[in-house]
Amino acid sequence: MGKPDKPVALSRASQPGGRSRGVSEVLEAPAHPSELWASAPATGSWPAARRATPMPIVLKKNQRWRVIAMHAVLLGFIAITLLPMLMILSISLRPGNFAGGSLIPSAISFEHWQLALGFPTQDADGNWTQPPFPVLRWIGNSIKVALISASAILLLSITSAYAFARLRFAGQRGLLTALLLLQMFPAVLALVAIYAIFDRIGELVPWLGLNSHWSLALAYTGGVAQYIWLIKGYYDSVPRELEEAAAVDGATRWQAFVYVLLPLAKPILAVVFVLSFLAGMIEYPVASVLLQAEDQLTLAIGSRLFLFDQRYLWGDFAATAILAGLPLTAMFMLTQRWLVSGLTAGGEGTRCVGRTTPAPRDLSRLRRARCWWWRTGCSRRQPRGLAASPAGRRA
Amino acid sequence: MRSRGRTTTASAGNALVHAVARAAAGRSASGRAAGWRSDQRPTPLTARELVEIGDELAALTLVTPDGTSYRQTSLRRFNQSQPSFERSADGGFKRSRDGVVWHANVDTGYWESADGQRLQPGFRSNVGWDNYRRIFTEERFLKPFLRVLGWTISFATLNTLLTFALGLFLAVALSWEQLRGRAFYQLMLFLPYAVPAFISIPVFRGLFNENLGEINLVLEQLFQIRPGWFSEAGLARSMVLIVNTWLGYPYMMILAMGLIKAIPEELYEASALAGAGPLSNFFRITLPLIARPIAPLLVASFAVNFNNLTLIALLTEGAPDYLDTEVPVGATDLLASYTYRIAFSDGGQNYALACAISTLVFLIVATLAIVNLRLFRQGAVVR
Repeated sequence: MGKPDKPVALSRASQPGGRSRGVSEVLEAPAHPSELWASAPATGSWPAARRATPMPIVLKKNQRWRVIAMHAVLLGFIAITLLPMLMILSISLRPGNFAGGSLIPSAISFEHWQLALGFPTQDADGNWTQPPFPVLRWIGNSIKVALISASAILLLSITSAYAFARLRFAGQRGLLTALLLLQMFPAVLALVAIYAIFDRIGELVPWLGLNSHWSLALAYTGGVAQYIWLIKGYYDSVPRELEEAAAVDGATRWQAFVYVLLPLAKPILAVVFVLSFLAGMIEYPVASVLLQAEDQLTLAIGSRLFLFDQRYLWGDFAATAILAGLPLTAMFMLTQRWLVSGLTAGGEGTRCVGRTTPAPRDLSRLRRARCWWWRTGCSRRQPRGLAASPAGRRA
Repeated sequence: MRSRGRTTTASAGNALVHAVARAAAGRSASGRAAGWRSDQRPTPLTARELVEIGDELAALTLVTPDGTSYRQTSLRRFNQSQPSFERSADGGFKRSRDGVVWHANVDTGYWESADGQRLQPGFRSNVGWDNYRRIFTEERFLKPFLRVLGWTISFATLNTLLTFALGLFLAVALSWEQLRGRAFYQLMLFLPYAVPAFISIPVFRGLFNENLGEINLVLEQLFQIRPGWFSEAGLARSMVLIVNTWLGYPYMMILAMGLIKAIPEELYEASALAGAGPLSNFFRITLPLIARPIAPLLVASFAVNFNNLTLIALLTEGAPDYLDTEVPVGATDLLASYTYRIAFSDGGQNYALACAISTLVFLIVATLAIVNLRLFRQGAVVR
């Protein structure tokens, strides 16, 4: 390898206070090798996710330049990927409906935002422009359909997953595999069939036919299989002993489900609700087939109407896009960390540290409390990361 | 109410409307014979009142003594009208205008006349496996089907590889502890996935516009070229891949970051002791250790992009169209958008063919799913 470089920087970027980044600097080595092992986390899980004290390691001379180069690459990449979003922002603030022009608009006009929010605008000549489309109504439609379908999905999948996870019945495995396979059939392929089915249903039950929000929510609820799988996996990771303990205390199956299992499954329930709500908000193909009248449209298919083939109403589209996209994006960003951790932690990620079996609490207190989310619980909880859990390592 | 053989049908119609409307509105409705009072000239109903009794008016058929019948044709008009078709004795339809008789042809699903004319629309008739057979035997269906199938498979594969490569590179970069501000980078890099697709795809459509879009403006200034993103097949396909990579890399990035966290650090420390550089670390430690868990997710991404209708419908609508096919199909059409166009476009609504193709695609995707399950055993039913 040639001449060894002079030591050294720590293998962690944990140099406090911006110490000198020269290559030849000697930093503290641990006093004794045993300190390395002593600094491992006390839970005794090995290998530890990250050590407390890093091991000293030799770095190359050009380390600093590599870091700077990586920063440059990342910043350049971010600039390229975020360019479309910045463009859309500047287009929405620009007068007129043009797509071209510089990134920073020379004149700022809020006319597109006014039209998107439903107010007519008056331009310099005194001509009034009516809002071309009922955008706020579309947003309301989207939220309505997404809420209905998310609630239905949550209710159905909670109970179905309980049946698959805790009950025994004939054909259980076959049914679960069938669910998985059926879930593989995307709604996109069945568009013709969905149209025909709801056409027929609409002849009998008008409010459940074409051009209706209830039928759209019903179509979305059809995607419940993946959530059943998700929640079933979570239920499987919650030890049965908790519910058995509740049964020993005299709880019925329903009480054990509602008072013991559901509170522990709160993370995954929240995940399922948020995921299905977001999916319902941004869905395009099924909505485009089932909804026809203009004031019934959801935002996803409605915003496409701004872009007539001959005359793109870019400015109005941009304002609508930001109006719609901002809450969805914010929701996604806020929940993504917690979604990922909720998906990976699993039931075995939250274990009682103080005791391994729950304290027997009497259920009459639960009933008196009248809160279905009352926990039978443990005094302390310690979430584990993906690295430590056996599921994580096996994956 | 009798018509006195008046001059025009219109005035007869108007008089009828007055009389009938008045009857429906509950006032005395007789004509001369019953005697209008001289101060009770009938006044026309307003449009609003007419709309209110619209259903009753539409159901009326007024027959004059000489046999002509009048029906409502617009809000204030009753005109001569009679049914265009009547049932003939042998179960067909007879057109009253020229006496042509139409019989149902169960094989083709249309009402046909003796000389082969057809009435639109037809009806559903059972043709057995005909549609499937047509896909594979008739040249005009087979050729586009194979072209679209080939493009769909290559699109899904290339897209999965590209998003995986990009996401993995970014994940490795964001797991590098020497890099500061990783939280900021992660937030910014996740944005393309967080913005809804129905917003970002039309934005790209405008950006790639051949004459006015930013990308062509910049390319022209820099390199003096102006690529025809929507008019050439190869460029359109590249554009579709670029946009879908932009949309999909954050998902792979997050997955890879989660999996990289699970790799024990001791391996990297050992490799550092052995004098390995970052490339060796990547190809010998990182990649093999995340390959196993990410493989089913790659197959799932392939299956999803196989049917990515939203992207094609919003970005290119299948354009540029092939000029040598009878059915409407384009160079960027996936199987899903091909069936959508067959079923719902104005060019020809062939629901049956669309359903046949959908079933074939389902078989392909189901095979993929079974392969996925068998090979990787993820989510197998335990207990």
